[in-house]
Amino acid sequence: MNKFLGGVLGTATAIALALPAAAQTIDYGSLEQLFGEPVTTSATGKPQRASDAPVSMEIISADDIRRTGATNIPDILQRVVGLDVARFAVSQSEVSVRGYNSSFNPRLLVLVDGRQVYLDHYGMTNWDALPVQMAEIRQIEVVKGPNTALFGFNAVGGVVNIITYSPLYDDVDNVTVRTGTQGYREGSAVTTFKLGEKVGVRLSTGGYNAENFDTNVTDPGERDTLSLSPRRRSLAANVLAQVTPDSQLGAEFTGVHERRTEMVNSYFYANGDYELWSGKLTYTANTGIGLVEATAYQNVADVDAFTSNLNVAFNNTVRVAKIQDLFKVGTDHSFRVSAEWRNNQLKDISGTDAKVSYDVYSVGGMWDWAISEKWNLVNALRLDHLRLDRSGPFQGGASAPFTNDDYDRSLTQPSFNSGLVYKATDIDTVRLSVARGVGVPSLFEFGNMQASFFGPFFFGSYGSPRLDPTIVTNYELAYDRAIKEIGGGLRTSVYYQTNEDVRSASRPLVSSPLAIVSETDNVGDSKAVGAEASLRGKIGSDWSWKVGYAFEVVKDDYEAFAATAVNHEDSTPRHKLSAELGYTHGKWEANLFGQYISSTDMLRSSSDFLTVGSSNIPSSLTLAARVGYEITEGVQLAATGFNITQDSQRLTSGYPEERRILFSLSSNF
Amino acid sequence: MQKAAVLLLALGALVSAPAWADVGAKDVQVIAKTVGFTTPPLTGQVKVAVVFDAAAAASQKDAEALKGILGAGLAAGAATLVPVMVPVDQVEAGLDGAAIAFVTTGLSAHYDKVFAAAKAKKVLSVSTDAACVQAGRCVMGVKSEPKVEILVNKAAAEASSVAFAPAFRMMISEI
Repeated sequence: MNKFLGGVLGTATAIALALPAAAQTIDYGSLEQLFGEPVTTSATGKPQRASDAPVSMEIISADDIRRTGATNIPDILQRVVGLDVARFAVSQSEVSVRGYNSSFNPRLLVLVDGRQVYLDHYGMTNWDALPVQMAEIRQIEVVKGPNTALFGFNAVGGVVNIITYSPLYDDVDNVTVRTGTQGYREGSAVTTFKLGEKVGVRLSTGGYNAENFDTNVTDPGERDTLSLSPRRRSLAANVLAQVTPDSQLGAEFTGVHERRTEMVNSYFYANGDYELWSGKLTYTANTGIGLVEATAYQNVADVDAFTSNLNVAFNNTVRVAKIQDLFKVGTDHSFRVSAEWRNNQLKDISGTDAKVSYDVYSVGGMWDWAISEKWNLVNALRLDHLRLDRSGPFQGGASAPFTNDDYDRSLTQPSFNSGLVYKATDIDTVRLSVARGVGVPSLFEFGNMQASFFGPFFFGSYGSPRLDPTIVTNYELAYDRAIKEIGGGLRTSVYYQTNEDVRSASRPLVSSPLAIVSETDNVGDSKAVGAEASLRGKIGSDWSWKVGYAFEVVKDDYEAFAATAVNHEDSTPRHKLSAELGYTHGKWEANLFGQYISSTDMLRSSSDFLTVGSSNIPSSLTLAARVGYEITEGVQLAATGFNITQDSQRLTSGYPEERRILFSLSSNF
Repeated sequence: MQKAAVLLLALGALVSAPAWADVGAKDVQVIAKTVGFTTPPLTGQVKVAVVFDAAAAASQKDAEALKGILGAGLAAGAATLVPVMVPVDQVEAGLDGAAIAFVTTGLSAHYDKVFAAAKAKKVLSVSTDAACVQAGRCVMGVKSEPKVEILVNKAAAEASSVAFAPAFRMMISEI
């Protein structure tokens, strides 16, 4: 008899275990409780334990999120080894996986419960305009490396899938208020409730007001821009209903309005006004042919970018309908088959009736083969067929380099992920993987149009239908070891990545005293090699720790015309070293995080475009800390600081980042 | 020759020894957490028949421990697992009204009898004895240390008219 048994005799009847009612949608909480570790679907599409995933990934739990004290997701992702976070303004951070970061980074697929929340006009993510409150996030799943075979375009650098609490399975009620430096004032509320036994609802709302970093604005053209006071308002409603014992219907509605100052893709500051709306329906059923899930959603983005001299509007609508079936054949083979249609359009380009759009038709499959107790092989393949279209006028008329007929173009691209997992022992796991990802050009890159006559002189900058997708191929070897003695484990990986047809920069087509005309074009190829290692553990019951190191070298082979637009080789830090220490005791919890990043060079443009160049960013050491105290059951008071050792520090090619101090009061009830 | 016989006996003992054993509270909790993943999920008062052989010390010990762990009823989400002690020689009648049959260790001589009863009563047979699952005489085996492992014998499940949710099946080992 297990000696542990004696100690629990007589008390076990008091144990209450949360269990699923009838789980068609993945019940993360119950599965995590059952298996004793986080569960994910982001690696292969099928639910699996994090330790079984055939890719390099990190899962950040709700507890981890709270302990950071972060008010936004980039401040959390900064702690993931191998991720790059550049905060260009108080409300703008750019996140990339394994280098290749840039303003308006288009290489990352960001999802909330499987719905894309990156914005297709640039393929970028506005992290401050995500329709989620921190308190409603169950976990954040980060997949490193391409995964377009599962998720489709944009997942070339990696995937960040934000999983929220289920309206039907989870019970979350939270109110949080925060205040701090930079005039920061935030409030948020999340609640879940049941309508009868079969319908669960989750409502959330929140918003903040802030001031930009108080900086010495050296570019006169940017002074007005940086005087803006960023703010956000968001709301979301989620409903999940148990329609029959074997099926569930879900509905989601979100809305966000955000105004912020941002470093745009051309590396100057502008203001952005984002109005984002989405609606989603999901139907999931246990059927005789497996677990079938059908999803349809629409994202609408009305974005205005403006400075004192510039006003550009983007009107982007994305419609997605997809269906997938997860099933098991025999005892060792799991499959996922999927089909997807996506319609993506950018309307009213440059204030005209011009519209650029494409439809993508996709089919995919995943095969997970449990070869033996020790060996597992996962293969995923997806084929995307894209049909591009354009209608409406061209500014510049006959001087424009393209006609609408040039946009009658189609692309067909395969992507794949293949991973072999070898569980050498109960504590040692080796993963070997190769993946091919496809990054489709953004609608802006396809359809941008900014053209004017200045007397006899003509200036025209155009997107191009001739752009090729970027193909990212990643080869990776990883080794993980659980180390009982330290209450944690070691994770390591080495990788080699090639990037073909990297996008994009304006290539001059005509350059004369009477005209300058350019088109957006691919800039060349790039390669990267890197290694990551992290070690985490616990000391006693109160202390936890983690150290991490990431090394990466990027080698660009870009054409000369791209020199002032794209530079990944110099902007990717070669060394990143981080350490984190956590303490929990009774009503107290504390967290300290430090990160060293080696020097880089980032691009920077003046607001009048006359000066574009490289800006050196010295190596940096930043510290963040948080102390929390539970003043009464469920009510926590916390103080959090970012970049706490310096009044301000230059961490990007933008203006310096100030110290940020926040005080929060959070109540779970 | 004698050495060879001893070696063969030892090897035989190794082969026949259960890979998992020693039921503990964590194992019981794992079992309890799985009942919500059966289709349809088990809810309400769920009778757990703890099948034991009073003549086998290990079995008797397991049974007593399980009785203690489950107590008057172990709440598990929408289900409450209520134990009933069932001597193996009364297993046919003992499984009446039961949804789960817990096969204690040391019952290998009675696998066929227990499984026949479980099959007839459409009962989920579970054990920490992997040999029972591998022999196709238990539907589900669990192990909680060093990490949770769940093994399901698909043929035994089908024979017992027991089914599991697809998501659950994706995350466990089946034979």
